[in-house]
Amino acid sequence: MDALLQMEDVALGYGEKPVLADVNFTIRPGQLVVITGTSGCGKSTLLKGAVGLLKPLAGTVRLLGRDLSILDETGLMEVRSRVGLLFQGGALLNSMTVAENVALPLQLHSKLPAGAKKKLVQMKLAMVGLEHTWSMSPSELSGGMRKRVALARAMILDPDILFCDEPSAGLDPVTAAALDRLLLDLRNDLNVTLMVVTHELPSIETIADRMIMVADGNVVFDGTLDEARHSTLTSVQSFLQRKAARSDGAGMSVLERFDAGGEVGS
Amino acid sequence: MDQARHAKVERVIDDDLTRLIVRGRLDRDSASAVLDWLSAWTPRRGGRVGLDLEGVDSMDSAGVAIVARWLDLARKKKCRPELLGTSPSAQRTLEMFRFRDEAPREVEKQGGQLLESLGDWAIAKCTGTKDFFILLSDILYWSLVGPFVSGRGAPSGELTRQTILLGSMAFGIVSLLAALIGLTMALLSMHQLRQFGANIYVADLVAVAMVREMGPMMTAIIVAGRSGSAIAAELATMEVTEEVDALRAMGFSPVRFLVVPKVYAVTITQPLLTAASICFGILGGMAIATVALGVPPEAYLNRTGEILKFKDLVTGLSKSLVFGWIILVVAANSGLGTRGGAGEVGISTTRSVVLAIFSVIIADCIFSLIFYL
Ligand SMILES: Nc1ncnc2c1ncn2[C@@H]1O[C@H](COP(=O)(O)OP(=O)(O)OP(=O)(O)O)[C@@H](O)[C@H]1O
Ligand SMILES: [Mg+2]
Repeated sequence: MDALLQMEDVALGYGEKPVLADVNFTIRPGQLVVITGTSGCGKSTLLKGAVGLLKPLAGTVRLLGRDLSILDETGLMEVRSRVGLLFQGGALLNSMTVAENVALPLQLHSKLPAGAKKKLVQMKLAMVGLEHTWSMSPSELSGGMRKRVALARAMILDPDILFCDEPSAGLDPVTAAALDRLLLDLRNDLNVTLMVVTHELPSIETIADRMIMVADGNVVFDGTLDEARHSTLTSVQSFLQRKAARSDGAGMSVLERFDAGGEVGS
Repeated sequence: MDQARHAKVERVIDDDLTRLIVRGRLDRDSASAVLDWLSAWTPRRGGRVGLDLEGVDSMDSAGVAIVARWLDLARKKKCRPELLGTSPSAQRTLEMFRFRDEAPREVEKQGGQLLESLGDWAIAKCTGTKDFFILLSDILYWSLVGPFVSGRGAPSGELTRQTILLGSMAFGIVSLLAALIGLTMALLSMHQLRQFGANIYVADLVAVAMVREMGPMMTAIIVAGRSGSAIAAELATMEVTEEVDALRAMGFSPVRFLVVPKVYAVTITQPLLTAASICFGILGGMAIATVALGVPPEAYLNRTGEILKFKDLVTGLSKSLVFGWIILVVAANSGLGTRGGAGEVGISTTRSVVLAIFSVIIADCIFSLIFYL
């Protein structure tokens, strides 16, 4: 199989009005692709469309080479078992303990004996450094811890492709760097293909093989970080240089003033 | 005027231009007073009017807002407003908040707006109805087929947990209210019955009313308020925190995982709760009959046993079962249909309770028509 995820002229949205339109890209095995863009531009929407949680308004999405919209139940289950998904807020079930949450996908997709399942859960929790939370409830964890538990859950089946929605948002720089390291390890050692939504520039610089940038309801840039640095697109440049884009030249925004270190009128 | 202390407004009329000069601090303390002066001095019959901010020492966002507001007001009076000059500090503030002097763009009223919104409303209702029937068929399918397809349902223990939540914990309030209702019914009929010396018939009245109507109905209303709202809120919260999406992404059917255990639980608990409510209602009636009417408890219970027909019990309990399912489906529908943020959770919960009670009463009418016409 040569493409793990293929989007052809995809339009995604809620209701009738598309949030994203004409999305075209392909993700090949072993890549670590970063999806980036300003807040609210539709990154999470893109992710949901990619895994079939959101039906495309137009176009086709092929995940693991299969068109999700025409897949039957068994085919869908097989695809699900090979795809990991980390939600922006973690999305752990509060009625279960941390360990039960992490073990959830095993219940559906694994025939391992119970003892082995337990070991597996322990391993994955150790991977994110949270073995001690085993019997805690997700509501007793901090936001960052929840996200790491969710990563353990997304990784429990050793998926072919892992989708992460802002894995390091809300984490301190040290933990965030450790998480980046972990994502790289997954790619290098386990050959997991990753699609990571993030807008942390340092993180993008460390992990990205390829960057896809979303803006104004479209994919505006798709290429390596080097290509991004040489891109002439203003949205890409202002993102890389951490500047707010100028809007119709009428005075600078507050953000720009803060950025430029300029004095803000009293 | 207090605000006047740090801002002053002056009016100078040169030929055709009315100059309004603001001096001092144009901030949130002085803003409203300044705006009052500005609008009072803006000529009523149109013409040129200028705002001079050269003398403004300092200005904040409230100041910017009143400048913008004044421009709108002046235009509304058919004036041609202009900004004559600004002090450096005022200029900085205006720029910071991206102030631009431009005529407000009127949103064009479209011709078929009413029709359009009517159409939107109809579409929303139709998709809502479609979603409801999809959910209903999902619930039916998984409730019936679920037990025979292994491995994908909720974790074991969930049924027990739900049964306790929906049943045991509602038992107290249901029995208490049922007893009070039995008591009230007996009290209400006491005088009339006594007039005819028909004291013993209080047993008939209470028993028949409790079994046919009050038992199933009161239990359903309490369960809708207590458990239906809890279910709707739980599902709505899970929906907005993407937990439902997460289940779906892992390959679980959210309906099977979250709703079906509750269907089983309610199938067990609702008839039991109703039976309890009937018993306690009868006991309540007996208390009044014994104390106020002098009917001995044994006579009351015997009479109750004689009057109750098997058919009544069966219809009462099957009614309660249907009510339980209605409450559950309504709660699941509004819970899982929640979109958006935390605010929507409250709305879904309220809607679920209102709709559940409404549907239960409608269903009760239909039952009465079928069974007793
Ligand atoms: N459930 C929903 N219903 C309707 N509109 C939605 C819904 N979820 C998101 N949107 C809209 O879709 C757009 C994209 O949202 P999305 O969550 O994909 O943004 P994002 O790029 O992930 O932002 P962030 O970086 O803040 O997470 C937003 O304009 C939002 O208003
Ligand atoms: Mg997002």
